[in-house]
Order: sequence, then C-alpha cells, then structure tokens
Amino acid sequence: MVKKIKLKIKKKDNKTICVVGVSSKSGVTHLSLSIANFIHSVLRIKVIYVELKKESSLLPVVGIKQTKTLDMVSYSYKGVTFVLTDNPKDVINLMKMKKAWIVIDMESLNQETKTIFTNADNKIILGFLDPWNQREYYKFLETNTMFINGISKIRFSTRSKNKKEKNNLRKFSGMDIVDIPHIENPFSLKEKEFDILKQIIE
Amino acid sequence: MIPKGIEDRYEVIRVLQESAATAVILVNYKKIGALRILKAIHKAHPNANSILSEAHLLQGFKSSQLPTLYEVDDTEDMYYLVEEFVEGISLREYLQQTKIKKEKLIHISIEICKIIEHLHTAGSEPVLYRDMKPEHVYLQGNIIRLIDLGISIRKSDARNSIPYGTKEWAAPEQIEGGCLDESTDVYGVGKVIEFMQMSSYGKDDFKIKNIVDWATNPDKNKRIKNIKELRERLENLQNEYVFDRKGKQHLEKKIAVVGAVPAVGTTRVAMSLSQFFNKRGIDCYYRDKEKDTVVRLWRNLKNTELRQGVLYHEDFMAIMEYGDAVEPQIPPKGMYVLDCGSNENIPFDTDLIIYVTSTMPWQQTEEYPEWIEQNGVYVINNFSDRISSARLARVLRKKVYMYPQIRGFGISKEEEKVFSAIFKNEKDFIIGQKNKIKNKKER
Repeated sequence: MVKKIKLKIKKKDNKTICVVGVSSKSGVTHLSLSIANFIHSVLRIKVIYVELKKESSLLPVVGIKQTKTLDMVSYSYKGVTFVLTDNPKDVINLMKMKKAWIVIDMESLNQETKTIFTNADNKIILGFLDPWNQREYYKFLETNTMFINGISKIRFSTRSKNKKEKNNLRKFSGMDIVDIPHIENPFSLKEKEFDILKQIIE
Repeated sequence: MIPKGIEDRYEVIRVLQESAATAVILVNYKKIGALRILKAIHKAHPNANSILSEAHLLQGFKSSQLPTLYEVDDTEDMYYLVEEFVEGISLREYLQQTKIKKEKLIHISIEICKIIEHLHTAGSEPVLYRDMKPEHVYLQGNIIRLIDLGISIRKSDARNSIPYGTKEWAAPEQIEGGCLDESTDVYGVGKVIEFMQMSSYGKDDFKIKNIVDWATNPDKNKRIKNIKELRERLENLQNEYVFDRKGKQHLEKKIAVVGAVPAVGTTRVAMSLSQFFNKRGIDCYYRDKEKDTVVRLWRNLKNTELRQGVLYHEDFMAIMEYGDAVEPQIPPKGMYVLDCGSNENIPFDTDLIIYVTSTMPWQQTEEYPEWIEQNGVYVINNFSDRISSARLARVLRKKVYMYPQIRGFGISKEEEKVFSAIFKNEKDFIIGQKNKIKNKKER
C-alpha cells in the first residue's frame, strides 16, 4: 500500500510583489509603501522597494541615507531599502540575484515591464471602482489582455464598496477582487491595517 | 620641593606627595587660617604645563563637587596652584572601614556619574577626567566630591596626549594611547563601582554586576557609550530598590530565560512561564527582541488578537516588536518574560534568570556562565531524566528542575508544577497570586 507523504515546501527567502495602477493617481505608491513598510516593520523581513518610474517621486522623502544594492545606488529609510530606477533590466537583475522580498511600484504595464509583472509572485492591479472611474479598469484590461492573459493569480484591488460592480468586474476579469481600506500613513501603520496587508502579500 | 617666596602667605602643614620636580602640600593660608592644597611643579619638568592646564580646567567649572581654585602663580623656577582642601574621607579608606549597602553603593555611583557628566557637558567641549579611582572620590557625609584633575584633558586634545592613567583603573585605550572619548571615563567609573561592589552587601547582585560588565568592557564599542546612560541605568536600579522596599514593584518584574545552547527549548519554557503567570492573574508578557517568534505566532496561530502592540491568545500575551514604520506603542505595565535564546548577555535590569540546559549528549555545554551560582538564577534541565538532572545539580551545586515532556501550545500541568516549585522561593512573585480574581475581572 502506498503511504501518502505530505511534502513540506521550503519557504522562499525572496518574494516579489508587483503593484500597478489602472491609471495614474490610483494610489500605487501609497499601497506599495504600505506593503513594504509592513513587511519590514511588522513581519521583520528584509525588503527592497523598487520605484520603477521615469521620474522618482520618493527621492525627497527617502533619499537621506545612501547605500548600495547590487552596484546600484539605493537608499535606506525606516529599515526599507529603496531602489529608484527607470530601467526594467535593473529590476529583473534584482529579482534574480537578491535574497529579499521585493515590492515593485510600477508606473505602467507595457512590453518592457511585462517580464517583471509576469514573474512576480503577487500581482496586484489597483484602481477605483466608482462609476466615474470604472471605465479605466475595463480599458486597462482590454489594453493589457496580452500581458495578463493566462495568469490565474492576479489580484485586483479596489476602493469601492459596490458589490454589484465588484461582481461584474470579477466575472469580466476572472480574477480576485479585494477591497483596500484607507491606509492613513504608510510610514506610520496602524494595527487595524495589518490584516488586509497580510492578506495582500500572502 | 617647596616653591620659594610663598612663606609670607602659606604655612606648610604637611607634604603629601613629593618628587624631584613636583610636590603636593597641605598648607595653611595665614590670612584667614584655612587649609588649602598647593600643587607645585618645576618649570623644567616636561609636564610643567599640566599645572596651568589643571588650573584652566578648574576655572571653567562651577561645581560644589569639584575643588575650588584659589590661585595660580609662579616663582623663579616653579609653577604652582592653590586649591580647596577637600575634607572628608576617601572612598578607598571608607570601604576599608565599612561594608556598604546596595542603596549606598548606587547613591555614590550616581553622584560620581553626575560629577563626570558635568565635566563632559559643562564646557564648550567635553573634558575627560582620565583618573578615576577610589582615592580621588571623597565622601563628606552624603556629599560626594572628586579631586585631582591633574591629568584631565579636553577631548580635542586627547588625540595628541601622552598616555597617562593608573594601570588598574584606566581604560585599555587610555593605557595603549588609543582614541579617547567620554566612554573612557565610563570605564573608570565602572571600575570604581566594581570596587565598591566587592565591599558591599550587594556583592552577588547580578544587576549591578551587569552594569559593571557593560561599563568596563575592554572593547569601547561594546561599552556603555556615555556617562548619562550609565547614570540613568543606575537610577533605574535605584528606583527599583526603593519600590522593592515599599512592596509596589512585585508585578513589574523581568525574568530572563536563557538557553545554554541553541534549540534547548528556551522559547517553549519562556512562553509557558508567561502563561503560568497569566493563569494566576498576573499580567505577564512574553518578549523576544532578537527573533521574529511573536510575528510567527501571529501569522500561524489561530484565534489571535493584536491590540496596542500586544498579541493575545488565551492565557498568552506577547509583545510585537514593530519597526519604525508602525505608529508607536507604549509597552504595557506588568511582568515580562524575556526570551534571550542562547545569548548569555542578559538584559541589565533582569530580576530573575531561568537557565535552560539539557544533558543530551549533543546539547551538553562545557562551560556555564559565572552568574549561574547567584541567587535568583534557577536551572531547568530539558529533554532529560532524573539521573542526569541529579548529576547536573551536583556539578552546579544548586537545585536543577527537570522539565516535563510537552505537546501543543498551551501550558501543561506538569510544567505548572515546575514553575510553582521555582516561584515558591520567590516571595515577590507569590504576592501577585492573591490578586488573581481581581485582576481577571479587570481584564
């Protein structure tokens, strides 16, 4: 008789979480910062925050203490290492080489950044589902079908309480829809915000 | 070697110290009939400027705990200064006559710290005393005074200074001519506290010993960084003793659980101990500052609740160690069980230590920490049998508690028996049990 053996899977010491918005001003940086700070300050895990943008908006905030990560200039702020780059190759190298959790704040999903998005362990698309914003969700899905097709575990995050709209989007996209509550300050997280952040990264 | 031409003002009472080119003399200032100290040095002496330097430093400080400077002058061949004669008894003489209480020891230590702190902070830049020893500390009743700033130096001048100091008392970097800073004086004060402890009723007090060890670490990077920090640690200890006398502090104790080697069951013992007290109505928090144990519990244990930096699970409460990006939490008041892993550098303000060891062949340790013999240190033998525990007790010459085999997260009855046996010896910890019902209701 064959005995069933339960295999224990060794936990990975690196994990990549990629956040992209359906449009600009979707709150991608706010959520990404919250996730990165949560990973470091609550879970006590080494984390690298990558701001993949042409023009960095974080440099004035985090650029006090300069460090080096894989020969790239990086910054350390409240325990999180910040890499500010506009080169997707840098990010791919980081994902390959670095044994740390990586949170990627991605400006846009396109041909160049596609590899990063598809290789991330957690893929989050963020936007608002209010009636005047939801068009952007559907537009994003139509435009990026070729990038997200065939990926089963994308998490769409919204800031809407409209169940009907959420169900419509769930059916249309075939993906998970998660509500993101308002996180007041990503650099001063509150315990009530922990559960949702835990849910997002797991 | 008495300076010529001072006879009209000063009458020599006694020569306290004399060499070919220097002298320290007790003199009588004739005009008002007051005793004073006259220090003189020959102008040809390579260190002739030290008198002027000491005078300059003394002039800059206004402290009743330092001698007052009256006069600096020179004769044809000598420099000299006249300063206040500090009456009283030196600390060395005092300790030869008296065995002091812990409270007195801490009081003197704090006062010494205050004087050194004054030297470090009063001027435009820190002045390093460099000559801390019991002969230089004077007691006038409850007032502590410090004499002899002969080799004191400004911090910026320390780089080019000649290595001076008294061998047994000076920090290694001072003797070796290394880089000096405020921690050099911390070492000196630490040595004086150590000296006092030897002649005190607190000879075996590991809390004082911990502070001494930390202050006198030969590696200055591992030493208490500045005198203020040392003073604050001593003040905390002082408050604790005061509270102890009043009987108010029994619910705010710290227990360190230390493993002889890794994987000896330290975390399990610490968690169960925390549950043991909580079951008896004493708020007790498990804490592991080094590892992410509590986070793992939060992630993996069902039915947990997180509230104001504390993880709650049935009878278990643990402190979450948040980083800078979480809003600050005020640590709750109560008893703390500190899981120190196998790190023997226990926190300085620990009230009681549980030392967890094992007699399994692969876990046996060759060396035990020095403090294991002290009162307030209890030994638990885990993963072991009665015979090996008895053998270990013979080696350590103290009682060894055999820990039962355990399963699951909650505390078992057998574990409770072990802790009950340990804490029946500790009066302060038993008091809390009376509050069991009251506290449960409050919670």
